[in-house]
Amino acid sequence: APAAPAAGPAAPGHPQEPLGPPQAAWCELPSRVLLVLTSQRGVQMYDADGSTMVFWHALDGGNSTHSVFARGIAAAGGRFVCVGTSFGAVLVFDIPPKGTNVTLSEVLEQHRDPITDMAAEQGQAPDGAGDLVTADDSGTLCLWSSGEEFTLLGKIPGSGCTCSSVALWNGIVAAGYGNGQIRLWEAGSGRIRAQLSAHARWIYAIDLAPLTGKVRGERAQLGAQLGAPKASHAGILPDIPACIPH
Amino acid sequence: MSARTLPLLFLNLGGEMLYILDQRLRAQSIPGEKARKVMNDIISTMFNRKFMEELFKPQDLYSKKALRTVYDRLAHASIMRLNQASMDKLYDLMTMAFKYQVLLCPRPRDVLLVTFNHLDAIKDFISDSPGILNQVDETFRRLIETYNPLSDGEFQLIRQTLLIFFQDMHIRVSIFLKDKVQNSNGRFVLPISGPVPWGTEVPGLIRIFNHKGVEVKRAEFSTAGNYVTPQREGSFELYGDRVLKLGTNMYSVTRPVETHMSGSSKNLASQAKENIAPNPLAKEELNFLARLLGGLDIQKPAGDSGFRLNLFTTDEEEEHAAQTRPEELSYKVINIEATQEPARRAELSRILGELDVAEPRPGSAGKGEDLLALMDGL
Repeated sequence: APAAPAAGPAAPGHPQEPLGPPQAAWCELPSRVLLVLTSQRGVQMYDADGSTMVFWHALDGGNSTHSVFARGIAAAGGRFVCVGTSFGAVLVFDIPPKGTNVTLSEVLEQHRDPITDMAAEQGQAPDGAGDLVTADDSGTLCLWSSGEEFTLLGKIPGSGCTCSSVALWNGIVAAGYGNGQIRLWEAGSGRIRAQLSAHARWIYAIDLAPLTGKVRGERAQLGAQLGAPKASHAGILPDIPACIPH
Repeated sequence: MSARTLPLLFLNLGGEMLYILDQRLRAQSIPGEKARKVMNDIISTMFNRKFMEELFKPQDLYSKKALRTVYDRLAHASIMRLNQASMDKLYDLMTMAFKYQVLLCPRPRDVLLVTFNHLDAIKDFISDSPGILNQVDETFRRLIETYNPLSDGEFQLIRQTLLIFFQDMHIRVSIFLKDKVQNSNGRFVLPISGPVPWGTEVPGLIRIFNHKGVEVKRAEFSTAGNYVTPQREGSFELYGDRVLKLGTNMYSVTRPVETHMSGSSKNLASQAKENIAPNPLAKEELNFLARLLGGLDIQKPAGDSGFRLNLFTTDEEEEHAAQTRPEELSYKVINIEATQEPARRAELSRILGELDVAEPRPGSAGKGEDLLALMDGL
């Protein structure tokens, strides 16, 4: 159940209790930057300097025997912060230009498996390509157009391998998978454009250089501390054409 | 965090413990009958049905301290005794071995094969005791039932949960250093050659498709590694070739196993904090322990058949290790102070009173006494 907005230092977890694997992300909106944290307790949002907790949302685990956690963070549409959950639901929070009056504006329920990652468009989306992609444990990708009501533009079904990480640029989805593959999909049509046997292990993170569209996959094998994974061996990909031939 | 991690953690650590104890029993020339009794008693206690039922319930991992107490108890489930220094060394070896195995698993799912390797070896240890064999097989089946259906994503979460548990543990183990799988700073070496995980392609191929989904171009790139396609997948059945070697007994060849304490922990400040701060979860852990230990059937040593096992080569070495163990690496096994707080003792008795005791054990002073005696000894 959505929690009332709270400001102040009340952190849900006890320092000794394991919260992991936690995630942290900066959400850049036109009017403000928020630091968003996810864990098995839910979502916390802080002001950019980390001094004030702007909002927190506790996940209702109920009597579930399955693991309960929030995972996957993205700022979308210049106004929303989206967070994924282990239930497969994507929580959409409407962020005011300032203050703590954050509201849960929508819950998107298209995924049936735990959300792994999500990403907002970092370049210029072609028409119909949407501005948010969400991914889950089954490898399913959903493309969304953000707004007062989010619209599902398309779904790319998984093929049995977890999609662990995604990036979205100029209407191209770059997706990293548990079997070490990176696949590039056309967001608008849902068609695959490239497939790379990139790594020999599970891909933990994918990142995109927004100006050049260059993609880098990383497999960090050691345990992650809050915030940054300790990468022992980063796979360097060759340049792949950012402009897929039509 | 995955709520299904504890059984895997417990069984694999237990498996490593048995490998080490088996090696030390032989190195110390303990008579065959006594050694077999110790192994049988410990294994039978580990796979106690009630204990397993508790273990397999979905739950968070508990603290290192709580888990350490369980192994302390387990190691003393028979006629064998261990001094603190030996127990510390045993636990160091157990944990670093399993940490290594988890890190090196090609796929997250392969941690299950590691577990099966441990269980296969345990079955070998008690192959002449059909009763205990049955207990182990029952747990094996429960593992298969619970874990085989889990998705890769769920195994990835289990893996992450395990790695968080092992975070900041960098004790150097001589076998690992010798085989060059661990560096002198305690970090493990990750291989970049050998078979890729089952289901992964050897890196190096790029395939480009046109807008009709037809492959139109292929390109190759070179990688720093030297990977090959695996021949076959390990078996996830009750019997079968696991293929993966992680989790098999690395102590088969008798080599003295040393651990090195100095410089192994960089994060001294945070570890010191963890030891000093009062643990508000102590009550939860007490409850957990009471439930778990309530299921353990502990024998008291009869007459003189008891003996002390030393994890070091000499008594002097053991004594020296006890005195020189760095403060930040002491396990400080649950500092509950049950004796000083009457409220806690009452609470514990109440909890134990509620435990369902299947049949009374003749000659035992009662579970409550055993448990409190354990706490008093800490």
